[in-house]
Amino acid sequence: MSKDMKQLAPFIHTEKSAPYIYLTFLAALVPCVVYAIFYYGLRAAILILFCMISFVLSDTFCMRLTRRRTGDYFDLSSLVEGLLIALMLPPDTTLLTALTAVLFASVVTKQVFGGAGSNIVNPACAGRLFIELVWPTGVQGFAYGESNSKMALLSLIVQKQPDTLPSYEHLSLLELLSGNYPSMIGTACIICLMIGGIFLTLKGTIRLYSPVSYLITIMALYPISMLIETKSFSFDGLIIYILSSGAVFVAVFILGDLTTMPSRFASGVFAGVTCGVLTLITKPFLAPMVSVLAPVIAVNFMSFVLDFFSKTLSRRKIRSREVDVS
Amino acid sequence: MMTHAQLKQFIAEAILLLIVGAAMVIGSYFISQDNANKRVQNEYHSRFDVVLDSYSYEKVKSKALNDFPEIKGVYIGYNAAGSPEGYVVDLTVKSPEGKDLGILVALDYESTRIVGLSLNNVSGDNAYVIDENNMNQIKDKLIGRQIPLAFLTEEKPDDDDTENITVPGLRDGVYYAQRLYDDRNKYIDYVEMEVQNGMITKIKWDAFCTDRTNKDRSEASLRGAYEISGLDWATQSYNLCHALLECQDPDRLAMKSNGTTDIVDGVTCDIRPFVDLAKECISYSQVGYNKDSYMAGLNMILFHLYQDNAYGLELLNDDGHVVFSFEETPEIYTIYNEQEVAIGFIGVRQIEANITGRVLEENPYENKNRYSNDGQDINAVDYDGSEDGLNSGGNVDNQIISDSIDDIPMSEVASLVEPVPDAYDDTRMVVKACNTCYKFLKEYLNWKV
Repeated sequence: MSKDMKQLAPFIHTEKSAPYIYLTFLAALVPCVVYAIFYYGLRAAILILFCMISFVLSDTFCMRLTRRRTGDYFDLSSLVEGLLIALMLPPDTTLLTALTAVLFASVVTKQVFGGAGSNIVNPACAGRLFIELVWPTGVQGFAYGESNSKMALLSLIVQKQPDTLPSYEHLSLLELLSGNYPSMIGTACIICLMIGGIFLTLKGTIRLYSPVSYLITIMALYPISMLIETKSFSFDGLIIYILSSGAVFVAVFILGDLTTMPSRFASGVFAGVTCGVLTLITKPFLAPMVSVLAPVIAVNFMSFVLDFFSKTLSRRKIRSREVDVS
Repeated sequence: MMTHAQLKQFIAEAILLLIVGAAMVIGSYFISQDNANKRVQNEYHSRFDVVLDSYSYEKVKSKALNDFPEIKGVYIGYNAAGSPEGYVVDLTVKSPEGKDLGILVALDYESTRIVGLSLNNVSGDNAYVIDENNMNQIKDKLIGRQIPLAFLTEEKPDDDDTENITVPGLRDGVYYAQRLYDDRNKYIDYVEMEVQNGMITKIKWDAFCTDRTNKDRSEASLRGAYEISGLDWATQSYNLCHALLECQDPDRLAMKSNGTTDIVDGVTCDIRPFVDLAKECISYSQVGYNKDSYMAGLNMILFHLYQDNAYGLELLNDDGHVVFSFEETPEIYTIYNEQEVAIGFIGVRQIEANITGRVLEENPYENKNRYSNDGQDINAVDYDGSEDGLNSGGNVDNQIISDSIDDIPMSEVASLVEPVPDAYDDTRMVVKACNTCYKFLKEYLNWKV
């Protein structure tokens, strides 16, 4: 086992090194970054850079404070987490709001638990959820269309009036796939998410058990959920929800995480199904982003327990948790 | 740790993903944009059809909007051929009590007449509510009127209606007058005026140069070859012509004794040639002496003096103007008093009559008071004894600079309307909204009034 492997959570057993995994994630997120900058311009670029840099600085500061790092290793996970947070923010989010999310993610959910590879919950997910809960009006700036100026920067400083998101019912499939509608700056373009997901799969740095079971669960149970909620169901509604809710982004980049999700097949599938069920259960009661992210945090907490029971029940010593197919 | 080769491979893959991602994002954007545009247009139609039923709408993006926080959006409506039809202004105006009235105002693109009004309900307790019946009456009063608006109060005489002020006796046609001598820059001023339905509908003031190598004054000023203080001469000329079209009467331009005016924004030049020639055109219009007659008269004068017409003397320029200064024969156009002192000039029609010995038909409208209620003659500009910059006549109601409404000088007001009985405040609010539209358009279109 290489020296860097020690940085990963104890249930991760793969020959992929931490820098390899994080660089792969960064590369996979490039299309989403392109989407964000193309649609939202300069402020999206600044938000992304700000989140990434502030996450690195926060992590570095915490590590120096606790003397866990001596500076011989650059933690690429900070860049990934910062980027994930930025991509889950609305375009008109102030830097202060973004910084709040970054600091919570970096300090509370990552460094308190020992830093990269040791965190229980996904830091980006927790950070984004934190500002959604404590600062809901701060993450409702969805300037789009004619009111969306690609060179506008004021919204990075001054909190705008919250925007009401339009109904997505009239969106065409192409618009949904291309992300041509008001949403978070990096979660809407399904084409980009698919490119990133395929890349991660080819590179072997994502476990597909949870993402696939999560999406299948949502697709399977959504009709029941809608029948209970509205006493009606339409296939279009299912497509719109899957493509516009951020569920695909969560599936690809958060549920596929090697650190915080179960490593075994059975436990991974169980986690994905649980996450999907919780998402649909909470959907009528919580804000859209909360109903998508909160179940992920819940599943993160369950991960090591699920892995433990899965291992115990299987009674097999086969290292089936290996994901490196190369 | 990663090897150098692995790092290189990652960079190559990242670049590849960047290219693929960019291609997919941009490509899918343009493919899906058509549907997005349709949806936006559908939304516009649902909002604006009630005031301006256009084929498509486009939102105006202008820095001028920053000065009008009450305006939520301005849209231009286009017909199926892509030509602009009108403006739709979505705005919220505040009442004196601080309540908000949301309203859509549609204006004709060319004339800026109001073509549609619709209440755009503001939610909350602070909404200013106008009864539907009152709103319908307000629409009847305002639609078709040109902005800006002001109230026609009962105390004011009907003939104070700016919209109805016209010089009487104007006959339809194209009229022309030029100075018979050039100025120190060798330019000869001319004014061409078109009259339709008894109103001046088109007017042009320019000057051609007796040195034919020079361009006309407006073109020369735009090229920087003719410079005056303030705006370039062409712009000042345009502004002045626009102002005359608005007020219809050269006297209402309030020319001061030094030949300037204070009431036309951006005009600092000497407007005497324009006022004199415009009045000459008006007098020709009142007797039906049109441009062709004027040119024939000029030819007669030339023939009288030089035994040939303008064509034979090669005095016609490309625009058909007679490029000739009669400065060497001032006696034909100058009026002298008994002491042989020049006291004025006569026009081509009078010179022609003097040459032929024909007795001119009297202009029945010459020196007649348009308002005819106080016996005052305001056609004749008498600088002596009248206040500079104001209309002569002494009737305060006829003064141009008198008051303002919604920060718009009354001299700019295009239409006077009566408030709806028992709904004065409601009408006032809608008028305020319309005047706000005017102020925005004035800034947006850089109108010079």
